[in-house]
Amino acid sequence: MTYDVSIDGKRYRLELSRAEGGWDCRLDGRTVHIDAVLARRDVLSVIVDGKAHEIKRERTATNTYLSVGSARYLAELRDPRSLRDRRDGAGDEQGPQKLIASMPGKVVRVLAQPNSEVEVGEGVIVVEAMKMQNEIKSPKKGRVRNILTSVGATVNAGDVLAIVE
Amino acid sequence: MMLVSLVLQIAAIGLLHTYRFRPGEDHFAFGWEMGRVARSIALGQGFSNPYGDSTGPTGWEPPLYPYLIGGVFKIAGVYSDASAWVLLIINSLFTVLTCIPIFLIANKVFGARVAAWSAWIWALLPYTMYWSIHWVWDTTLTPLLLSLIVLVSLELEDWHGWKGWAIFGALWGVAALSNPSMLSFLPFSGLWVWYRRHKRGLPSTAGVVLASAIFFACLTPWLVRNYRTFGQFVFIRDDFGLQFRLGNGPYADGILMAYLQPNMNNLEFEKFRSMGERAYTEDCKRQAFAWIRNHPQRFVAISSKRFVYYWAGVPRATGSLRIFEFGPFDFRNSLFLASSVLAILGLVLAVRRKKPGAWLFLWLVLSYPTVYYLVFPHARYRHPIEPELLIVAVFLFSETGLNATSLEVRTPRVERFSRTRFSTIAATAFLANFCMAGAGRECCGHIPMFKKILVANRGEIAVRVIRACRELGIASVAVYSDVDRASLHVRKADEAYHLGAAPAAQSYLNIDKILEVAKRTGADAIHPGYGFLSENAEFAQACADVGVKFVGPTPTAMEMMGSKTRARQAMEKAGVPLVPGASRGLESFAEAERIAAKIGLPVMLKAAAGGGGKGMRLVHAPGELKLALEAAQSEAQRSFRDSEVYIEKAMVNPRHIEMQVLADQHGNTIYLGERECSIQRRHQKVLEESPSPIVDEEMRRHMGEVAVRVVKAAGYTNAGTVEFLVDQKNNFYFLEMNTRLQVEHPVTEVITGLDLVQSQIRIAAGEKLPLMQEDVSLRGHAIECRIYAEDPDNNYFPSPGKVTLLLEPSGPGIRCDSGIYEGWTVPIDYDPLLTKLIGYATDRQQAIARLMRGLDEYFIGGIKTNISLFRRILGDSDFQAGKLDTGYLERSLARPVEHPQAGGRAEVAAIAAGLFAVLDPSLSQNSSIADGGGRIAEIQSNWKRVGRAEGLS
Repeated sequence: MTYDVSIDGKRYRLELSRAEGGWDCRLDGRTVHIDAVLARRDVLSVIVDGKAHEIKRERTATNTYLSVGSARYLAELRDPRSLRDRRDGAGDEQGPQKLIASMPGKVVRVLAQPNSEVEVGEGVIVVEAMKMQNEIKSPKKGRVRNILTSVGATVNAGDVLAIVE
Repeated sequence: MMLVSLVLQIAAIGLLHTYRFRPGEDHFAFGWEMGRVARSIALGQGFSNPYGDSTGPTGWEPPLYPYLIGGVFKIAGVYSDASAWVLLIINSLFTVLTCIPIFLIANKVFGARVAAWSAWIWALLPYTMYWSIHWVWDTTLTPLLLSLIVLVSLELEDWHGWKGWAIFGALWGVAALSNPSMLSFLPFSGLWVWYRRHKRGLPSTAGVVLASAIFFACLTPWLVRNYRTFGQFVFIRDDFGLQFRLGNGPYADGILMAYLQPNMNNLEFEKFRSMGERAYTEDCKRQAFAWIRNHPQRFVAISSKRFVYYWAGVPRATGSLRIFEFGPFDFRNSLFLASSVLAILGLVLAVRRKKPGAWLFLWLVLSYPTVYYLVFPHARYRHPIEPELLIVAVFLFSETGLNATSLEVRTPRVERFSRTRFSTIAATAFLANFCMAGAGRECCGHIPMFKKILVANRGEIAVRVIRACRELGIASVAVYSDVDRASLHVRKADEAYHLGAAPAAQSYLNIDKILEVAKRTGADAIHPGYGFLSENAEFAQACADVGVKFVGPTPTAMEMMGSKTRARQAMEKAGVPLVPGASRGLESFAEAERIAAKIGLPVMLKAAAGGGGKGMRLVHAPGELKLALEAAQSEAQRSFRDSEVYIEKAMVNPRHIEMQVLADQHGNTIYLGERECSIQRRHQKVLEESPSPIVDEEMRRHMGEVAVRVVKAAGYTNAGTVEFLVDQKNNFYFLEMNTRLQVEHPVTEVITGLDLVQSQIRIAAGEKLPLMQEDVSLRGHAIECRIYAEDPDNNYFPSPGKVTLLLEPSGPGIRCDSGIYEGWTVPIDYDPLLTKLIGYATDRQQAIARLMRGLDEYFIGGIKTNISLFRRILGDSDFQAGKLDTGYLERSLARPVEHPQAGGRAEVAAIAAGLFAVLDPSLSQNSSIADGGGRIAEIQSNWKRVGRAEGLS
């Protein structure tokens, strides 16, 4: 199996193949033998050259994070053979972008009207959580295609609030 | 007989150490007001100062017993152990001497057999000894005098000449000077004697005149003294108004409202001092009468309660017996009640049998307690008539089948009576025997515990309280809002009830709803936790009004500490060191300017009703003062509906150190060491430890004693925390008192070995503290991290959400007080405190290492937490060196974050990313959205829409 992996934005090419007592793993051309056990859902125990690691996986609405010891990484995984994943990898700023609530809260203001033009970093929607207001900003310059929520609505983490194209 | 009794009592004083009165509370129980007056007498200040401070001559107590104590103090030392020995032995002598009148009365009325039994029981009953060996008060003198009066009254019936009348008058004189409440029996005893003599044709007029003359002759010197002192007529003592107020007023419930006593309540004491005792007692009387006029039904209701309490025992008072409760009243004192019932049955029997003197007994029992039905009852108030009660109870037994071998020749009628009543009396006797077993338990300090406690809180503290309840065998009732149905505290409790919508005002702050649940579930106490209603005096009062015990201090103490200016005023008087400044609200800008100039800049303006940093303004330059004052006042008005603002010297980066205290309802107060809470962010504590790195043994003792003084000055009970600011030279100043359990209480628990929540519950139930100050020892070191759902990379913005993965630390020296579980969604509506992680070890360095290890093991996935902040603090060299102050964290956070060295871990993560995909393909990245929560369909449809859009573009 071959994957394109991005760890905190750094890209790796990973090849995994089953071997005796574990996996042969080729990472950016280097090969290591790995013994891996999924201890429980989202917890992986890995032994590399006798060194033991425990990796915890967190999947939020939008991202996957992997923690190794106290270090936490944003991880992205793409299977180069998958058409969809390849297209996703074409570029972050292209195509429609989703504005997603990063925490549960209440929409207190909608700053941009549908079909209006927004700049990069311009606030689109304000969400209040725990008495603090958080502006959800546009990730790109473009046009607000949809506002998918309204003032007063309660939103959960991961809800799509608007789409900018 | 009397010798045996005396020896037993003296042995008990020595073996039980009852002579050791704790010096902490100004020798509480060492005569209270009488003891303090006696101290003034011994120090040559005359009959004065009933509350310690020099308030001048007094008529607060009757003179006899204070002069006795004063005399002993003069010879054996003021408040010395030797004095205690002497006084308790004198008390024992009074008890022992009471055997003589008991024997003679019983002999005259009921015969030698009853007399011998009565006197022996009085001599040997541990109950009678309880009063003589525990209390420095006139409790044992009064029964002696009263029984002598009864004896003389009986003898006067056929006493010729004037001697009997002279003794009668003199006895009444002494009795009045010892305890004027006996006087309610005076007219009845006089009339009874007159009537009996009249029936026998004996003249009484001259005798009555003589007795009256001697009686008034005894009283005159004291009445003259009182007239000279106060410029008006004061009959023996003048605190009746206060006593009346202590039993009658808002919140009265048939028992003593001890928290209104000037020795327990600093504000009342201030009134006493400033008004003078005459005006104060008049004021109390006026208040009490006004209340009775406006609440006549309530007065009747509580008076009936007082009647029951007088004969059945007062619920939850010290030294009374409680076995079970039933009916509308707390019949906790079954032995007490049983003895009353036996005595009254005996009295009825004696009257029916027309025993000579039975009517005198009846008048005594009817007249003496009356005053206590109107004021407040106490177990000791029955003691003065107990010699007579004992005699008639013994008579009851002697007249039933229990002594079937009685030598008396019985008439058939008596025998019939015996048979018909035998079963009733035998049952009562059985009950009394059963209760004797209960008395044994009482000796071991048994006090009935609550059966069910409602926990009016949520999150980790609710879980903490529920755990304590479980350990004490008490059922727990949880309450929850709409969003907390699945919370951990609801899962852990024995019962759970819905309160209302998520906003706290509709759920955890909804007093009516919470009390309704308490009523419905039959909870006998409410634990408020911290936050929410924990420092709400109105709530504490509302609990008292519906008869549910609030686990915490009295509303009065809470109210006082709730106002920072009032607390400051009280502390100033108690001699507690305060940050320089004003203890009253600022009247004008000019006043602010004047005080600022006096104490020097920078100054802090603070809202009197404040908390949480609101209504606070720091002023560095004189020009800023005016604007800052206006801003602080308007913010205070907005936030607390009270614009009162006061001024204090601003301390530059002080330490914040607080002292934990426990105070029971019996006047015992101890401190349990300090907590260093200097690590704060925006006035919110983040990390706390105990002991503080800078506090040594001497400073701790000094600080602890000040904290105890604060507690006493406020009349405070239960667990509380006295907060201090400490400057660079280790001078400390009172900041405020938190009248509740603190978030950071576990560090104190760990190093003292005490369970503070259990202690709170036990204190609320009326138990005494199980240990004294010298029994408190601190072992090792403990540090607590408050783990919040907040994002360290986004300015610690709250970050609630679903906990997708939870790995909790364990192992030696780690305690995790958690309110979360895996799969639970942290609601957005409340404070985002998730758990508290406490590390403890023998010293600070090891405690830090343990906590670091615990943090490494701790993994809370799915939401952002501040765990990384604690790694940073614990690893910091300044922290490790103990160089802390309240500015530490802001400074530390301003420094750039050192990112942890990757050390090849990124590569491990990369490999793991692939392995997760291979080993757990069902949960690959894109499907994770389905875990999002309740709105899956909508989210998926959004995804579909976006997906389609992507496909098209």
